[in-house]
Amino acid sequence: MNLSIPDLFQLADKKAPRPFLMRDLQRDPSKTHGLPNRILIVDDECSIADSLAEILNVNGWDAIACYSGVDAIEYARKRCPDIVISDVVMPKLNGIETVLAIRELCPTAKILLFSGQAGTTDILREARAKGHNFELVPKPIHPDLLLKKISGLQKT
Amino acid sequence: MNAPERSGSQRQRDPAALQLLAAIVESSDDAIVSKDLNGIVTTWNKSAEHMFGYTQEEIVGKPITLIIPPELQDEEPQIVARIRAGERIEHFETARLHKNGERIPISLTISPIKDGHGAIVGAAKIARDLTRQKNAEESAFRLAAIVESSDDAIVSKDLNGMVTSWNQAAERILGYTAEEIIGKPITLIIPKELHDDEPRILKKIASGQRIEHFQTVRCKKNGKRIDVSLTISPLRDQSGKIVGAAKILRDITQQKSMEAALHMSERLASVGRMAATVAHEINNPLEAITNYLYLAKHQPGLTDKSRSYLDSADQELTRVAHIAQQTLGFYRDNSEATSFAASEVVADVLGIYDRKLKLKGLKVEKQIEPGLTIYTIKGELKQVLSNLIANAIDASHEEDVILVRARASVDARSHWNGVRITIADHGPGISSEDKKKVFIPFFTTKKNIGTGLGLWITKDLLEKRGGRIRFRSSNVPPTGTVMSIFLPSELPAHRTESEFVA
Repeated sequence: MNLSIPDLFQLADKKAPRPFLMRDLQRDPSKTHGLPNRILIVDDECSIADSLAEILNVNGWDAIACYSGVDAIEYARKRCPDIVISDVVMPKLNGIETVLAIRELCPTAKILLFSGQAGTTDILREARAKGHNFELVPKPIHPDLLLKKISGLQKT
Repeated sequence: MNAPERSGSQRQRDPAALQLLAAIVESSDDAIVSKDLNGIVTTWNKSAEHMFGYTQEEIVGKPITLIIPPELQDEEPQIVARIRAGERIEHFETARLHKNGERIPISLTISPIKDGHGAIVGAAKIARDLTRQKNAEESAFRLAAIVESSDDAIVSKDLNGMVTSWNQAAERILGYTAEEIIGKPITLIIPKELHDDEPRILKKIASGQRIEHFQTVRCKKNGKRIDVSLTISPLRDQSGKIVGAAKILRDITQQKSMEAALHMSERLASVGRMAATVAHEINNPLEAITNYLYLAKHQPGLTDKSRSYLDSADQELTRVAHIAQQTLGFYRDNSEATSFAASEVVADVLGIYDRKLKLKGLKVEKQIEPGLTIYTIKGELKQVLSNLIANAIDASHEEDVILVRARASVDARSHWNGVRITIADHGPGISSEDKKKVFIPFFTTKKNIGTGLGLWITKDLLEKRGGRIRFRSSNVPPTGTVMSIFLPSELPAHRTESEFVA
């Protein structure tokens, strides 16, 4: 490509582009939900918590990843999340115990549980017997589907 | 002793002969006594002393009624009357009393005693103690009753292996009546390939050994084989010589099949535990991969080629996720019952079996009425339909058509509105014997691939939700099986969900 001198000047005048951020691409105004809702993601598998937080963030949410129930409760004590997405079977505090504690701190927080195994049934039935009814989605859940679920939760 | 003097007085006897008679009476094992017509004891031999406990001195001159039990006192006047009439009473079985009050079963023979002129002056009585005989009879009777009422077959055979006795349980368990088999070789009930066992058993028995709880197989008259546990002991005659074998045979077919069922359920439980663990180990990485793929796909500046690779990877991943869910966490659906479209679930399940259907060249004819809703747990209905469609596929011949129909219906028994889904195949059909067993756990006709749990689970799942299953099947042309399930469209108002789950 042959550029004339004036062209080169013109180019030099332009600001150097700042590094690309995914939220530049994804967080367009049409996709925001008013104020971005704060979502707390709890999973002892860091790769799941991190990747999910990233997906939610690029889709206009304000997502934080926690790797244990204790961390999640600690976080909720400082700032209440609008939505909590938590794994069920975790060491020390399980998902039910975690979200019940968060609900104490933040009564309006919406809860969604996700789990990779059928063994969850017993934990859930126990919670149901005590009057706690939670929605559970199976892992793996496709991000498109999860985003739809979260939008649904926000509206309720 | 003066009895012989009197009784013998009609004919002249020499004293030596009389003495001999007296000796015979005295040494007899039977009690020999005499009395006059008033019932007063006149003689009493040694055996009588022994049998009734009274010495001669004690009882001679006393009434014979001393040894007659109170409730039998009536006998005496009758006996006396008959004796007076010149009658003899033979082998009259009755009871008398010992001096110590013990009752003795006896057999009586009573004859009139005549004087020198032929006039009846008394009675001679011979009493035989029947205690031992009675006891023997009773115990033999009791043993026979025990043998007859036993639930186990009890049979005996001689040392040549010929059947000598055969109880009722043997008739019931093995099908041969006693008349049919007594005198025949025992090998009739031994399967051909086990005939070699018999000489070995007989040899062991002949050497006085016992065989205990030997588990083997025997044949019924109709040829059917049964699992049995055998205990065989030598039979000895009075001298202790082994003359045969007594065999106790217990039918353990049911026990065996229960053991097999238990074994199977243990296996299933461990498979279940494994599935739960594997599910966790697989589903979590799948979740992470799904997320990473999503993020990769949404990176800017992707080439078309990269994007299409990522799309393919995403599709394959969806497939893996689907299979993991189907196989590892399908049955245990913990969501709550909801209302949803019947057509959607039918399509989902047929989608799962698409490959299997194609492999066999099967066509599915769908007749789904539009707008049908079902109230149940979706995962459970998927499980139910999966079982039925998998069965239909297994039963179908290649290139067959499977009919799947769904229409609005009212259950005949509960009168609830709902949906009836019918799945029909043109397979070989179910035999009338098997028809009774299709809902029994662990019953399967698919030897190697079946768990025998499919229809049992299906029925259980349906009934938990107020639904029902029924079927028709024909194994004569035109063959085929029609499975038909009913599920209510909504939770009937007067029932709560917990009632179904209970």
